[in-house]
Amino acid sequence: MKNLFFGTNLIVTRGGRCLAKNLEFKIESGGMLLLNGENGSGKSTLLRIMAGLSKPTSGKIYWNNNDVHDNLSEHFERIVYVGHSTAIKSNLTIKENLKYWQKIHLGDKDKRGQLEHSLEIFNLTTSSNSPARFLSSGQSRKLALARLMLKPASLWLLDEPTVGLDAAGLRGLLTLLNNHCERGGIVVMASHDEVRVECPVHILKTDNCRKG
Amino acid sequence: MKKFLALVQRDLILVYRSANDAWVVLFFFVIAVTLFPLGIGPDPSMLQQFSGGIIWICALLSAMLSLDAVFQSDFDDGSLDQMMLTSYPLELLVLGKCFVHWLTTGFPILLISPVLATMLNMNLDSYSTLLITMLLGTPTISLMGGVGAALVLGSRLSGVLISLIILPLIIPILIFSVAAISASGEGMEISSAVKLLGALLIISSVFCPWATAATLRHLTN
Amino acid sequence: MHKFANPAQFTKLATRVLPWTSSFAAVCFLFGLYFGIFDSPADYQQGETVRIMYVHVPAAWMSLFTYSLMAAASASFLIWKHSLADIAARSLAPIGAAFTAITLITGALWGQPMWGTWWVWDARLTSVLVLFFLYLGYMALVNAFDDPEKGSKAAAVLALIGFVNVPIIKFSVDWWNTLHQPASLSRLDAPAIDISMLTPLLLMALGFKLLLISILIIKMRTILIEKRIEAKQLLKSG
Repeated sequence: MKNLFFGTNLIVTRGGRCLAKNLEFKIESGGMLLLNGENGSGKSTLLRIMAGLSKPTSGKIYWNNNDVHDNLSEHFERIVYVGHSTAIKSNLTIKENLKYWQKIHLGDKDKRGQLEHSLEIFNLTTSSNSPARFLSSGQSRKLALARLMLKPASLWLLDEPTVGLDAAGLRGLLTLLNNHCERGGIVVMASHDEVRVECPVHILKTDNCRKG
Repeated sequence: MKKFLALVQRDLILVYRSANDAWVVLFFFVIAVTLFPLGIGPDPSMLQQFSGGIIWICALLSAMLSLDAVFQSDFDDGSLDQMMLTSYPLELLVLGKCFVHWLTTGFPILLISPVLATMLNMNLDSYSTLLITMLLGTPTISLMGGVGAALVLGSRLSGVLISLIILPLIIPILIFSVAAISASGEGMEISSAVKLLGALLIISSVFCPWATAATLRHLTN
Repeated sequence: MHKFANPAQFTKLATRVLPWTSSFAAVCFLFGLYFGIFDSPADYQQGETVRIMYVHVPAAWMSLFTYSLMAAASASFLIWKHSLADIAARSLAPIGAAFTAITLITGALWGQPMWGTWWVWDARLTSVLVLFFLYLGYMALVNAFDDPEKGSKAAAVLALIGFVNVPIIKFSVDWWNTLHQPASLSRLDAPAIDISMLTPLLLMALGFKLLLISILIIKMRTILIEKRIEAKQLLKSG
């Protein structure tokens, strides 16, 4: 089934201050939206809005013609959001961290061994039983991204996923992104780095408040 | 239910691995109680009269100390965002967090309170009442404190602030509990106070998780 | 853009209403105090001390009334997200706290000659004291955030929770009081009140209401102006 994720006439503000306005976007299954703009131009806030964590100051966001803010719990089912903060508990082991989120999202089932697989992709298998407090910031980022595989979601929302990643991590991320697109998933990503994915990429500029 | 248990299990593991934090609260409770005889004098009959009040006041203060942390670390590291992004009702996750707070602060305080009651020369007839009021009152504090913890999230001085806003609201718990304890010491009926405490617990276990979840949704966006 | 039109409308209306409310408040106080001090009898039990009542009782009424207003404003802010409601709630808190403080202080002044002590843990005094704490908690919370929007939301929720809790607290304090001391103290409100005492009392009550409105208008206008200045500065810096 083809999905369509689009937003109309969005205004993004933070603390009453306009960050971006007149935003329009439209992505189909298998596509990727790259948010482009300087620091403080509302990329993170826009991603939070897309996730349903915040409401847009004005404008609407739709999934297949349904306003996502009308039925948030349905929206939460189809997304994975990886924000700036990694949501990692330093006193849990790497595996426990992932296991917890898997349980919260899916109950207990791990049919396809996704957890092990996600550890492999990001090269975390050998250290999977050590506490997460030993992770470097790049490794923490990898662990946060490993969450992408725990839950079958059709929409990925990624806030600066490449920050701190080494070459291997970047390759892992690219593999994930390409697979996701191939399966008909949709990605929205804020990034300053160039990411060479194989799916059609749209670009959304988010810094038009200052110029206008 | 599995998700609820997963949260409770994770939070308990976290408390266990940094067990120091839980001990600190318990120690604070013991030290605070100890200060009272030193401050008001060792007269056994006076201590007996005040024992219920002393234990309860110290229990309230100890609970306040640990409450602001209920959501803080989840808020700081982004876990709270992730928790909101599940189709599982946030109210139940909140309930789980309050339950863990109670299990790791209110419950240990309850367990040690008879020892302190002995040291304060509490009337033997009052021990069971002390435990009943603790059993009904401390969970209510954790539930109402959850709302407070959500309210002060991201503020400056959240630790002091939560005491300032929650303590006036939990005055009824103190009043009913201490009243029941002193009534039992005089061989009087305690059922009305206990019923009121039970009512407060029931009301807050329905209302507080809802209010907390609403606050979290409002404040984190 | 209607969001900005409303505050402008408010400022316009407020500027027109303010001279009336404030001057009427002054007139009410003038007559109320005159009748209260010179033209009403001393109480046969309480003597001249009873005249404190003309300030104390209206202030006590206002302390609860202001809290209800604050809760209502908070509710409408949370439901309709109207910034004027938020500004109203923020402005009401210190006013209400001041009324409550006046209630407590005049109560103590009255208690000294009547009960021989500045303070007793009477059920009413205690409840008013707790109400005072609720105001202080609100004021502490509303200003505790770097993002004022967050402070508004948190404090609005707190005001509502407090409002729901006020009856419970009041009940528990009454309950506690009957437990500890049988009602032997003479109360402030005499059952039958003479008309010569009622006139100044009602005049003062009306004066307090008008005073509340006047201060509220001034405070809200100030906050609106501050917001405008801030917005201009932001525009410059951005």
